Amino acid sequence: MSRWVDQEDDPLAPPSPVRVQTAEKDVILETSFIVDPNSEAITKVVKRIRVVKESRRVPKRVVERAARMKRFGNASGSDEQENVTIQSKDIISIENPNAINTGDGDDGDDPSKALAGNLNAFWAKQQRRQLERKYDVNGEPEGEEGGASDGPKKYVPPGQRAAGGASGGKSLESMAANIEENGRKFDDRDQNTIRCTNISEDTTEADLQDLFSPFGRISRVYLAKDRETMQSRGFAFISFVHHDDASRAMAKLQGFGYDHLILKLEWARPSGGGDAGKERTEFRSGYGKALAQDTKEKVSYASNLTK
Amino acid sequence: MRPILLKGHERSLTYVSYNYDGDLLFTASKDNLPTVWNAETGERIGTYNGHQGAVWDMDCNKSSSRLLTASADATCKLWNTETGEELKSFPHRGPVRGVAWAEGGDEFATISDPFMENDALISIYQVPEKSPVESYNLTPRLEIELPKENIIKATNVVFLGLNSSLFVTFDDGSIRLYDVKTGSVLNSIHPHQKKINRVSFNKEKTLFITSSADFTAKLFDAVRLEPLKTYKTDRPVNDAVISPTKEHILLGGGQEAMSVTTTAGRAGKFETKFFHLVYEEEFGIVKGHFGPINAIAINPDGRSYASGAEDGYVRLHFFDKSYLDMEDPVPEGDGEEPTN
Repeated sequence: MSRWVDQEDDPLAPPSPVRVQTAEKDVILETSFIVDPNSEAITKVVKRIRVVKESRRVPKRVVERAARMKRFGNASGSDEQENVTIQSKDIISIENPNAINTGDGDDGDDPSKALAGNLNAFWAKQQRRQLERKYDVNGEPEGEEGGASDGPKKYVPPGQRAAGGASGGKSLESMAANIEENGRKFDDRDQNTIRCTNISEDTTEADLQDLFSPFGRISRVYLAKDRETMQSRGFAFISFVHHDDASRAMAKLQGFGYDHLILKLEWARPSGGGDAGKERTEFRSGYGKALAQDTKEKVSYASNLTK
Repeated sequence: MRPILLKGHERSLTYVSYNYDGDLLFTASKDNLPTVWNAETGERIGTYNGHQGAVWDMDCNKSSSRLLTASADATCKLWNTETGEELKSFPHRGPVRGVAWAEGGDEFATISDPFMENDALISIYQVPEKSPVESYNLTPRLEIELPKENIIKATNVVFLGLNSSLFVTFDDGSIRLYDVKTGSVLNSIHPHQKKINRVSFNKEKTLFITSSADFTAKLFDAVRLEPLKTYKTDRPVNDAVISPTKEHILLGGGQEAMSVTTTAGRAGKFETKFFHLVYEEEFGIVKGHFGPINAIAINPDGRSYASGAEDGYVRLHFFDKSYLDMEDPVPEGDGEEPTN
């Protein structure tokens, strides 16, 4: 180790990097100095390097092949390697496929945490399923899963949406029945759940997640879909972990213009969820019970109106 | 993980696979240059020059000494894997869509598309390793015709049962087993509604997984041809592999057409999906490709995988320790918390 004082060149130059063995047998401390040319400030960089030896057994055939094989074909040019093989600058991790993310954004950088988050979410979903089975609630709506049997969304005209094609009133009732089944899920979290209506057809759970997540942690996003067509029914429930977050979201997003429609936000109704197709009459518009046209079918898709 | 990008191909990828030892990665694309790469570093070792059309399929023998390629130029070519020398070219009557070595490497089978007045064919050629290349017969030992009236095309071919049967998948979603000596149909099943894009076996050839345009991949028992599991996604599945070391399935798929502008049409969002083999649950996705993923391969040591996409890139991923150590929580325990 030469003393920097004795160096022959520029006495003001920083010393060259020095490596020192520490008490732990595979850890080395490397001390180096960087000078900022503009300000002449000297930064001391201390790196703690752990040297780990991993040994792997490789078949003799492989080693011999590696020694034998030379470049051929188009790879035999001299400088080609820089262009053809590149290490990605981004760190990619195995991400959670579900739209619902119970982890924070800053966990995303740490791949091990992200994976643990995946497993947690996966396991949490299993627990929920177990509970549902125990209490005999119907299976989760297919919109929740990472893509169950959803086909690509195709437009189906309203007249062909209801199965059986009978009167529109029937379809409304069957839909109400669907909603009643699914609505039971909101018992535990309904205090923090917002019902968001007048959502465009193209909006997905992921979009809603993106829209509402700035306000706080979301425990669940449920986008209502028609059972047969998987078409979005234009409303959704967003459950926040904290009530205050939900209130702030309500305040800020009420009347928000989202994809050419104006959102309407309300507190979700407990047990049974707030929904459009209830049998109970609920007059939210000026028309009340009597509508000028016989539009029972169409009514089911405009969430604010009743039958 | 920090994937390594392999940019050697100018057009979309059609095939990605590791050799038996896991030290070489083979890729083929709609450009005419099948390529071999170092599976550890991603370094391009060589290209097999000679085809004049898209290369649809490749197969490397177990000792990695000989390589077969199937091309739209209506030939199947035999190469010396290590030097890139073309040993023989087998002319066909139509584009060759698939090729597979028999166990032992003395025979191989090809499937070719119909072309003009010619029917689609399944052909078996003899290329005994001990005989000189010049002696190889360019006429197949056996030809099975798929008559035009049925309008079905074969999409994959594999030798099964220690060369007793030929396993062929079709674009109508069916699978047939042919007798290798006579060409008669031994068995057939129809598990998918739409085209079976690719099929992939485990090392012992006791399980196989089919990837279909009907948005699902299905796992089968190879001996009984019985379906075991179904993995559902929201887009056509182009390729799927069974992990050799974990109970995981990796799937890659694509959009139906670029007309779908919402959802995953965003840049870099075409993803490889990870499913648990037994629970059929999707537990992870890896993004990064800029086009639908056409081919996936996993290294026989289970520590890395490669995906090739429509964007012409192959991405070589080395799994993090967290994935390799990952334990798959059992879905329904006795109510105990798993330790993460």
